[in-house]
Amino acid sequence: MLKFIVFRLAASLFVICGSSVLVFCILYWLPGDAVLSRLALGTASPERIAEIRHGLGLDAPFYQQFGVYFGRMFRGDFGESLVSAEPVLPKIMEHVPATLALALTSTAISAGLGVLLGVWSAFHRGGAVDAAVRIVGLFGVSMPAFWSGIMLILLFSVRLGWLPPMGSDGVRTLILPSLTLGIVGTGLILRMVRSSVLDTIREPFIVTLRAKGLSERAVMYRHALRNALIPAVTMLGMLVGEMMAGAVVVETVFARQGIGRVLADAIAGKDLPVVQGVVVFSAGLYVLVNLLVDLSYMLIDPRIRRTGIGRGT
Amino acid sequence: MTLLKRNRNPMTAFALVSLLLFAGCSASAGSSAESGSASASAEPGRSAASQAPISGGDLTYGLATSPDSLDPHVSGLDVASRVFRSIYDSLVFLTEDNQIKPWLASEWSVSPDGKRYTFKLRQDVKFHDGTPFNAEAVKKNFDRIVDPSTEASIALSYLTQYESSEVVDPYTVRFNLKKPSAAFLRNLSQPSLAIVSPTAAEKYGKQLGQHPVGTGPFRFVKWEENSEIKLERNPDYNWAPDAFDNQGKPYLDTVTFKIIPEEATRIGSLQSGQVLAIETVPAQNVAALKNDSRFTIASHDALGLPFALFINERQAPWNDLKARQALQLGIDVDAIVKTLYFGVYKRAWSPLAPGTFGYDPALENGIQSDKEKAKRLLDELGWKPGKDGIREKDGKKLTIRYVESIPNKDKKQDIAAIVQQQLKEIGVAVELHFTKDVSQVVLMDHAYELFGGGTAGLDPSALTTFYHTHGLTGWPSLSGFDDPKLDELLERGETELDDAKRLEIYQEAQHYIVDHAVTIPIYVSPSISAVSKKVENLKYDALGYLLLHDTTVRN
Amino acid sequence: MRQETALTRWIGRERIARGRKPSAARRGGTQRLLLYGAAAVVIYFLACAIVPQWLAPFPPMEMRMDRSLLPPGPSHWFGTDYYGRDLYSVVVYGSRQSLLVGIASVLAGGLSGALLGAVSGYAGGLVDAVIMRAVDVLMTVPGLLLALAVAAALGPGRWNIVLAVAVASVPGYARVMRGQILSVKVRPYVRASASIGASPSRVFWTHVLPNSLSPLYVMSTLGIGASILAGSGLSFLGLGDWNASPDWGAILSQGRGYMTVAWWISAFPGFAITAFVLSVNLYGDWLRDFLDPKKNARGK
Repeated sequence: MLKFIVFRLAASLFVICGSSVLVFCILYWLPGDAVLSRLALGTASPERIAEIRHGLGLDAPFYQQFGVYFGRMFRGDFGESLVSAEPVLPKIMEHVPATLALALTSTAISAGLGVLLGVWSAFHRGGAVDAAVRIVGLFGVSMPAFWSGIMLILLFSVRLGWLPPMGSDGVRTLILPSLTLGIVGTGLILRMVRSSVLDTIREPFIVTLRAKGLSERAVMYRHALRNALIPAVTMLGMLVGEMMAGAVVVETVFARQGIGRVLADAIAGKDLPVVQGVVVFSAGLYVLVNLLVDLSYMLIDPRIRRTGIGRGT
Repeated sequence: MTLLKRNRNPMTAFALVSLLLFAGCSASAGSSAESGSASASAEPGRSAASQAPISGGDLTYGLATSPDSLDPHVSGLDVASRVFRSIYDSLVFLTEDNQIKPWLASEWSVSPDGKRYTFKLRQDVKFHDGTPFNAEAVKKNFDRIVDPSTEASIALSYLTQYESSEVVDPYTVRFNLKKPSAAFLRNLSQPSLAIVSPTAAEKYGKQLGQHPVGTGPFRFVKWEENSEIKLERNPDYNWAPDAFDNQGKPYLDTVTFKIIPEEATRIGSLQSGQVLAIETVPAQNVAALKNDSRFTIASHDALGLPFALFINERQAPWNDLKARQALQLGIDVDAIVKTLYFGVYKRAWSPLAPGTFGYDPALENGIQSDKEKAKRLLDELGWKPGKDGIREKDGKKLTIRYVESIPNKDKKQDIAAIVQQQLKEIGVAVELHFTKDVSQVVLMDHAYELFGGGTAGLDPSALTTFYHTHGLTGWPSLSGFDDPKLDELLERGETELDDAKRLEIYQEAQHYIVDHAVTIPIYVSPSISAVSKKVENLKYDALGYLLLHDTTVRN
Repeated sequence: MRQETALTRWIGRERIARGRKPSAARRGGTQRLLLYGAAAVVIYFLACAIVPQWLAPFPPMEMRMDRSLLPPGPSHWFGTDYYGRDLYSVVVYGSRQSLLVGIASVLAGGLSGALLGAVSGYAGGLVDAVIMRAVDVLMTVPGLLLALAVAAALGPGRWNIVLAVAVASVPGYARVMRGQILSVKVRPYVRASASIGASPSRVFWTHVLPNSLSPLYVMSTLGIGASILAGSGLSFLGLGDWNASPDWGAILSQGRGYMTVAWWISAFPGFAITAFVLSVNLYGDWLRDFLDPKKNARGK
């Protein structure tokens, strides 16, 4: 177990390095220029822009920029924003709490509602409840977040006046955005749980257990649900990635702080150090969550623990 | 003209002349404030008589985008000016009806050759950080703007004729110009040339934008990126221009600018009371808010250059006047403006916006869309419709690359989409290219035939930037028109100090631009805000920026 | 503990239902009815995508300011948008690009993701480690950046969004597939099969793979919807292609500013997305049951 965790942490470091190298290359090859895009059209002469680029080291050959950047990064120095000259780390840390709050609440909504509704729907398979739950769940999955977000604002803020439509301080401002983001995840998890519960109860071992006369309670809780949860938990791990991607849209709609918007702005401005900072942070988070997901497989399914996915990964 | 009334300040002949010149265009200044408290009036004593102003309270104001920096010399964004206008003061004040009044400078004089401006400064002013305001501080500010390492943007473009400044005595500063400049004094009122604390500028360097320190009615408290910017009352403030009722400290305790990019959310925040005022109200929402008894709408048409489509003439056939005229006649600007802006935005007819000095109303209703004539012109040039309806010549299709920026600000991408359909009718294919890297595509790659642009400005010399061969500081001009006649007109306009002659020059330049179909003017960009009726005396300057000296909030 | 009792009750019912034909038949009837409805919706939108000119009453890009922002009515079923286009025609033509993004990106992303996941999960060891780390790297690179990179590499066009969405969805499929394989390959019947001497590839093809696919059907049918939505998210961020007739997401995104003025501009493309995704999902469920090897084995 410990060996597995250590191994995974080492692998995580590899993932984070891999993604920042990939991001560096993409940003380097993308057209556009950090200096040119931040200055108003035609306010600085070509010579002046060349000077600024030189000052920032942007005119150096690829390998040199690469070396300088990663040399600094390994010493823990993420550099400064090419746009605002702010140090990257404090800039990102300013936005992390708002993003974490949003991601955690919406994941909780997704997981809680998704598992509950998924199991409920599977119980009533083929009936009216099943159809209703599935269709409601599907509405969540088939509406773009910006659309459902705006509709929530129109309903709960403008029409009813119950909740603030924007902001990133306090619990009340968190409700609508996490609902918007959570609805999407709920739909996904609901479907996953429903179909794997249905799958599992038809498994031979469940049939065997039933034949052996084990109580239904024991069958369901000790065996069926446990197996059914594996894909759902995998989904949860991936949801973190989805949440990060969805965060850009939700943060924009609800005018929240958060690293999603920082990232989108930085990508638009070709602000490499900031993009890298956000990517390293979210890669770290993603890797951590998925480590937890893999560990939870072992808790859920003892057979995996026995054969050891640790050996495999 | 009612010019004599304003002859109150002790000034030299030249300053007087230029003052009159600004007054001259006041009558047509393009502002249409709607009823109520948000009215952009700068007349003194408007509401003082009726009731005593309420002190205290927080004004929350929803911005559409985030400022890039609160360093006035560095930022190139309108939205930043909206915020830092309250943090900093300028040397002179431009009233809403375009008159120049004293502010941090109490009086000034201009040398007869128009190349030396001497300012006497107020002696009772200090910066938020305690630094005294004096001639030394002013000189350091202007040295800072022209220093390349500051990376000044718009600010620098107002100082094209600026040479140097010198401290005459502790409270007198003199500016030396390379050439006389009719626009210089007026541009000093621009928020971009506001005065920052020299101590703070030295301490923070490039980070001044995150730690702004000025002499303004409000001082900076905090800036939570992408969320809000908070300012608080400057209790020592006692130097507001005469145009305000209240010369002393402002009534409001605090001002909070909330950054709310999504239109629907911004309007929702106003309607649900999260903010008391918002900027950039989309045209389609104006009618509903106007009918809502809780709010007033204030609209200010920007002076300067309206939004216009520049035709890149570097590529054949667009170097031919007939081809450009075909576009001019093929694009139905009326339809575009009515469809997208519901009569809230005005159609532009000239490369200058109405109300800007030199604007020629004779151009209005001049060019009307005429698709048949447009087709004839293209026929004459030998571009004949092919099988798919797109014109061809020598096996080449008549295609236009239309470049516009992301995001879709002011529905400019929708303009492009309509132009695409309109030009298809005359047999011209339009390829839309929306990009975040406009500077790269337009300035470096020249990969466009149509590109829209415009800029706010106080003076017709703003034309130089976009229409002079060398207007874009070393970059090739947008249109590639590069006509010696137009260059000469624009140069003369900048240095001419006699406003009758200057008016003539700029009117000729406008006609020249329209006649040669260098650009196709589309709309005059307004700044439209919606304000709760709880807010009183929210005022605006000539460029439509907020002035909060007199503002109060009722609960 | 209410849930617990519900669970037990349900299991009981399930048992009884299996024994009782009429009830099962009734349920099958509802199911079939839903399926017919779903098939009709899918076929209709497929027709829209293939021959929009037969189904749209107006040219989709015809802008006429004299009919802008008309509410839904007899001549314009979905109303008109701010350009004065007939919204129904725009939605009909929009289905082509939307379905293309939905289906093509799921095919591309789903197949390559599932392949990677299956190989990774079944092979284990170093292969698994390498593949999964590569997938993780892909997963952690922001989708927006991938989309921009694809757009920069290909130039503007309708395949950009397809490819960007496909690449971004690979890690999801790979991880689910791997998780599923891991869980299936240790099941007793698989191990039993291996222990009586079946070759690894035979075990894989006859036992592991068929039993691992089920969540993937669900995921890829859902994925069609998710891809359409991802495309609309890119439109929201300003990366849509304005040269083609707009897809549903783009119409929705462009209409969102008019929600309080002209609700129909965003409502109808929204309904189109929902109806299509819903139908595809119902169909996906049916497919899952149909392909279920255990069910076939039971001879049902």
